[in-house]
Amino acid sequence: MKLKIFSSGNLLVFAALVAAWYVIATVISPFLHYQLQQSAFITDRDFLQRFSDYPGGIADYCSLFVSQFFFFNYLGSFLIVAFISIKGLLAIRMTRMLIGKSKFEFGISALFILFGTVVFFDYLYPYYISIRLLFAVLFTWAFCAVHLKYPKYSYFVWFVLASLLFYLASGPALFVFALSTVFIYLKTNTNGSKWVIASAFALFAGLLPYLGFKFVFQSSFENLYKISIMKPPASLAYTPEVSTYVFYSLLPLILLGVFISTIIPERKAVPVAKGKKAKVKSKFFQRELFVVLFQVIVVSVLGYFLFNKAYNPLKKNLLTIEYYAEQRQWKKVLETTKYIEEYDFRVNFHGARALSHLRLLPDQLFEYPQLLGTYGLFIDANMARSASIITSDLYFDLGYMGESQHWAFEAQTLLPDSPRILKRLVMINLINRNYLLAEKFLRILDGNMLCCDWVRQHKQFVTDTSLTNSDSLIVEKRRFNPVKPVINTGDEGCLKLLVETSKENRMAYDYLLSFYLLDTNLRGFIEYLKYYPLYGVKTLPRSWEEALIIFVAQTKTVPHNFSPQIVDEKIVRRFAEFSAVIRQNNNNLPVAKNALYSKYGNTYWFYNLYLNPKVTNALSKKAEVK
Amino acid sequence: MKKYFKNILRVLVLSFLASCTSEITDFTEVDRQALISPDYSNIVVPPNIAPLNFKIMEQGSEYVVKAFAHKGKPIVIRSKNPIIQFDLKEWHKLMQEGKGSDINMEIFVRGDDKNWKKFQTLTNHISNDSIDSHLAYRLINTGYVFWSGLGIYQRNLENFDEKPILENKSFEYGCLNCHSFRQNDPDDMIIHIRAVHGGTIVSRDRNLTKIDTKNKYTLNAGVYPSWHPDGKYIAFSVNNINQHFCNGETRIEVSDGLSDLIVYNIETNTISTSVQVSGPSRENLPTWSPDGKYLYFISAPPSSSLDDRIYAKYELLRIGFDGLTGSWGDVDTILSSKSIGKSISFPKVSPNGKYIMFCTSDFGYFTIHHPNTDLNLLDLETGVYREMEVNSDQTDSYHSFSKSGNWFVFSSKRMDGLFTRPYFSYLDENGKASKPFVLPQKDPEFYDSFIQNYNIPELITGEVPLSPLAIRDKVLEDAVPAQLDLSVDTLYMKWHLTQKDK
Repeated sequence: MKLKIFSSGNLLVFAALVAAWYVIATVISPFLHYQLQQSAFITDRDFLQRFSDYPGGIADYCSLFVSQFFFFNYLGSFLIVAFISIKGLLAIRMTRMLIGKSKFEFGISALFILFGTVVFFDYLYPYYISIRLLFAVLFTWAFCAVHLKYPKYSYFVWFVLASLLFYLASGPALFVFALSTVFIYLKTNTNGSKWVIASAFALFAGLLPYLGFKFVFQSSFENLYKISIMKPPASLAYTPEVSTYVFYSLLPLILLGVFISTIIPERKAVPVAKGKKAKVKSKFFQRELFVVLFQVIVVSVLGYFLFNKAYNPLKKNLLTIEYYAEQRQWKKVLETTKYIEEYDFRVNFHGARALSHLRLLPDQLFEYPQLLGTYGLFIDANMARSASIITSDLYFDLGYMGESQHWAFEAQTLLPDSPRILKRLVMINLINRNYLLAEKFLRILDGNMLCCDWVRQHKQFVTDTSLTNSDSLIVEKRRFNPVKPVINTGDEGCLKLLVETSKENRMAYDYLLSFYLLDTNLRGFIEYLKYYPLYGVKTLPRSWEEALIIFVAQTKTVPHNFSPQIVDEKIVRRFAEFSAVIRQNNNNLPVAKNALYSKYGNTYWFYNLYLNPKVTNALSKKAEVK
Repeated sequence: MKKYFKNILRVLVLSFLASCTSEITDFTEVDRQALISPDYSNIVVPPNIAPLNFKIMEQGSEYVVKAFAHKGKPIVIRSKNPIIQFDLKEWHKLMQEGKGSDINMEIFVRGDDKNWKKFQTLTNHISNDSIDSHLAYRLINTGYVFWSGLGIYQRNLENFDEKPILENKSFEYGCLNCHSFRQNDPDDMIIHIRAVHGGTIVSRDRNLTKIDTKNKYTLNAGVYPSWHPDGKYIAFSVNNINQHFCNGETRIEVSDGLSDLIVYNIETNTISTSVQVSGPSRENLPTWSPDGKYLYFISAPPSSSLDDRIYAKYELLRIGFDGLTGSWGDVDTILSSKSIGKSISFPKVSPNGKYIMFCTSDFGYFTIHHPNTDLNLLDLETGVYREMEVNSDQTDSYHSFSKSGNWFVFSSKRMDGLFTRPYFSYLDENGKASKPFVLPQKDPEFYDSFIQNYNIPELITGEVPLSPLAIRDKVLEDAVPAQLDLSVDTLYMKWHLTQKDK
């Protein structure tokens, strides 16, 4: 017997699935979804309980289980494609149950694959949307099977399935089910009351979420009717695109097509008398090869346009930068920043971190336009809601455990189970010698199956606390961490405290001097510049030299502790040339700007005159800049 | 054949049961008490409290616990793991029969060498006085600026049932703030909502209203509440609050630049205040005396700098109030910060009017973040105050009395220095408090991985009779603005606000 699996139609579907997997794995990269959304799944009863008291919670729970594997890019891509294919296969199965084998099966499958893939181009896309739809398709298929086999029980089964589906996957999944089953019902029933019953199905589905809201569930009204639910954090709020709505409409539309195909009377055979030409044409267009080819072309063209429209390399690169920063792959961070031409505060922020870790910050600080001044180093508190994790990361890098913990707690409030945040809290508490707390966070992390190894490695620090003394990271952070009780007065105060706490903390020193430069506070800069020999600096990095020259030019004095030779002669000459260009333009700074940009755009001098937010007033329109 | 198997099964079950309950006679005695977690040893417990499940923190392969009182059937638990969970019915039976006497726990641990060890018996006293049946609290994460899922819950103290009073997921994740009850009565409750669908929900005799206490003559909407015993008035503080993040043991300071007191009249929907409680000083945290004749509050001098603002010490005062006419009396200083060298916060008068329980810390009033915060008791008859026995080396802060005044609950961070847990203690007629114990949980390891904080624990005499859905529906309505009482000197209030703006 010939295996049907190798039929041309199946092979095409398989090819489409492979193509989707390839696009998802290489273009979309599900690990970036994981990076942004911090999907976490905890294997305990309390975690499950959190999802059991609202409609759609169970689907959300299942989606978290699956989406945690997005951490593994290829496996994640496979899972996404596998679940999409189930929807397509079930849809085909239903059409076969209703009208037998159709020539459009490839198209049905391909549309699910296409829209199921396109929605993933938005990194905010919550995976529960796909899983809820999967529940809807599964339930529709179940109804279809029961209805065709036991039509007597189908009303009862419908109401049971609809109610259960509403609880498991919320309102929109119920609507998909209701519409789809209405078309199935209309297709398979010929009695006169079928429209009344179909209307009753639709009415029940429309009312059930309202009744649930009014009498049973503590959910907000909108969350029971909308595809994407509103829940914190706002930074992960997803607005469904047209493609998402189309994705949800596919099954009802397919079944509507099936229903319509049955009410349109079948075309009679073309009479021979009508002419030879017409007969040939009709045969050609009815050929399976043509129909399949037609579907392949339509899907390919549609896919091309949809992918082009949905693909946003900027968002991908930004997330990639954050991913590399979390992995502490600083060179890759800097490489990726080059792909982003427009100014972005996240590029600025991570770029500065990467430069600092590579000891390049003072040399290359102004290679990137510092349009937000000091807010390029420290994200503004007003924007920190969306950046509390990376703010915590920065303070951790700097060795300031108090602030790192503060922002980690803010982040943990918004994303309670994020393994990344819980790991941060474990580390901070190990450094702070709060072993009880470290153990508590380890215990929670232990419920996350992706973190078992990490937990095992770090549990030893809690069971034998003396081991912390031999961990270089913990030891270093303990040395750098200020213990003096103070009220934080701002980023400058934090950096000063760090610099005062340890003279080995080069990152804090670089950040402090960069902070002063970006704040154009040359007095503060000079006050701390004198300590540079303590940090093993032999020759002054470029931005420091450039700032020192300005200070000397402004005050007409060389600050004590510095010899005039400390500044390279080349820099002195460049400054003279820079000043000359301004003079050539009659000291008209706006006119001189273009002339200066090409040669001096990456200098502190240029920043001081043109990019400094005190000059541009950029901070008053931060939202536009970012 | 079937009968034969049935008999074998019966014998097996009986021998299993016999092995579970049989006395252990061959053991060595250990000259100390077994370590258990949570620490439920040498405490006074209410007769109606839920089972005090615990974990035996001793290495072993098998554990036996025998709990018994002077009368009644002992409870014997035999377990392969150190988690000891009592049957609810058996526990309550034992507690009721043992009322007024001791409940003893004999703990046996079988070592890896198969030999049994018996630890010294743990003894707790079962009080004759029951505790209020429910505890209301807010569960919050440790974020100081942001919030996400928040809820106010009620826990049945006689079992392990926890039910929501209101969760913010039902109204677009607005911020849920302070909750307060009139004299432990679940029928009379207020809840503040902020940010989304803001307002104050007032439930009086189960009738819900939503009010907006912000007025152009007052600093802000009402913040810290206290319900007058006769139910007609609610006193609020109105505050301009800010947070300041810190390095060191204290992670955050919360301080007020300005604060006053107002009294809201539920029946007339009006707000009144007095020059004496809306003065230049920072009046805060009002609380009524049980007879309703006095409003106690704390007060700090006006602040002119950040240091003044944060490091000020609050003292304890009271002002007379006539509930019939709504008129204000005179202000008395009850306890000055100078005399005790500390800042006073969260005063609460005991239901019998004999004591005031309050917190002290080095400065400020927002004590939950100060590890050195302690509970104190002031005898109103003698004027003598003292630090209470219940204090730990970590934060011991917000507290509330039971209806009878024999029990109180307070927030403590003693477990790990970070997360706030509710602890209970018995207050005898001489004002001596028993060793506190943490809110019992079904799973004794619950606190090991629970990372939310129990905020504002309030004892109430029963379950809040309103459903979360009814409260949510009220939250979704617009708030009714409260009017200023005609007796309030609006000219003064306007001037007062301008002075404070300076």
